Amino acid sequence: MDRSFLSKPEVVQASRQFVCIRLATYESFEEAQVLRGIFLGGSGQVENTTFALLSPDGKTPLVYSGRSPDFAFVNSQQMADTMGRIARHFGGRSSGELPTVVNLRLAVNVAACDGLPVVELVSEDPAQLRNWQSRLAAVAWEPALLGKAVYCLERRQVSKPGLVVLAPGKFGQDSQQIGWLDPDSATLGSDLLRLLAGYHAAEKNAHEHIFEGKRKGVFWQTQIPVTDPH
Amino acid sequence: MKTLLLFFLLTLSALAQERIQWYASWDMGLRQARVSGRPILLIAAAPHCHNVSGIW
Repeated sequence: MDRSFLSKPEVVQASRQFVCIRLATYESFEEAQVLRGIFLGGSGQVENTTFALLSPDGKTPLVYSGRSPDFAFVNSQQMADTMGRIARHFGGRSSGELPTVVNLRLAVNVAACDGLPVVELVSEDPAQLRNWQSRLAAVAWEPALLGKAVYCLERRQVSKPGLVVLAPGKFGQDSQQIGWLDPDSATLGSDLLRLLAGYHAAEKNAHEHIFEGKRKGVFWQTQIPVTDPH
Repeated sequence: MKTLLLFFLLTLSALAQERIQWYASWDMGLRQARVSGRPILLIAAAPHCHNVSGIW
């Protein structure tokens, strides 16, 4: 996929008026069924990447769906302009819950792919987790924090429940704690921003990364079979 | 003039660092789209290449 469109400032700004969903392909049977209904390549199977702009009920494609934005747009400015027109048509209002990844294993890998840290809320008390989830959601959608972390919730016993910031390993299969915060703190937002600002991921070269991973025996086990023929 | 140029460059720099905030599941994202009335930008990508993780 040509992901360059998605990092362009005009597209990022236009995305603020959309609900942005990025699914991890081959990590959920149910989501693969959703993708199957949106776009199938020439193979007739779910391919590695999918792109679509959809109505708020998720049922109507608003532009040509495909493997990537360049199926529908000649450049990022055209994509941003189109998104702006669509956003003005639908309107809508701001609303946000904590955008969590389904589990820590996947969150660490996604964070490694993005070059971002993981922000994990961890406690064995479900009521405490729910309360912290609400508090962190209010912070996570502050403009200064948008797109700065990958979030997840973990219900398990730990010596110090709270908010943990993790640096993913290069191949997203391990991580290292780089910070801890009290989610009940009145300064949660500014403290989190400070912690996240201190994280800097190393640049990756895709070819070198794959070569090194193969040499080291790195293997990512997907949850469902990979069906991309390419 | 220099101040304006510096402000422009800083703004460009800040924008360059901004990223999209993604929901990571269909159910959660769709729920938010329905509640907010906002359209959906959907992307799917595998978080591995040739089963080597850590890269889209």
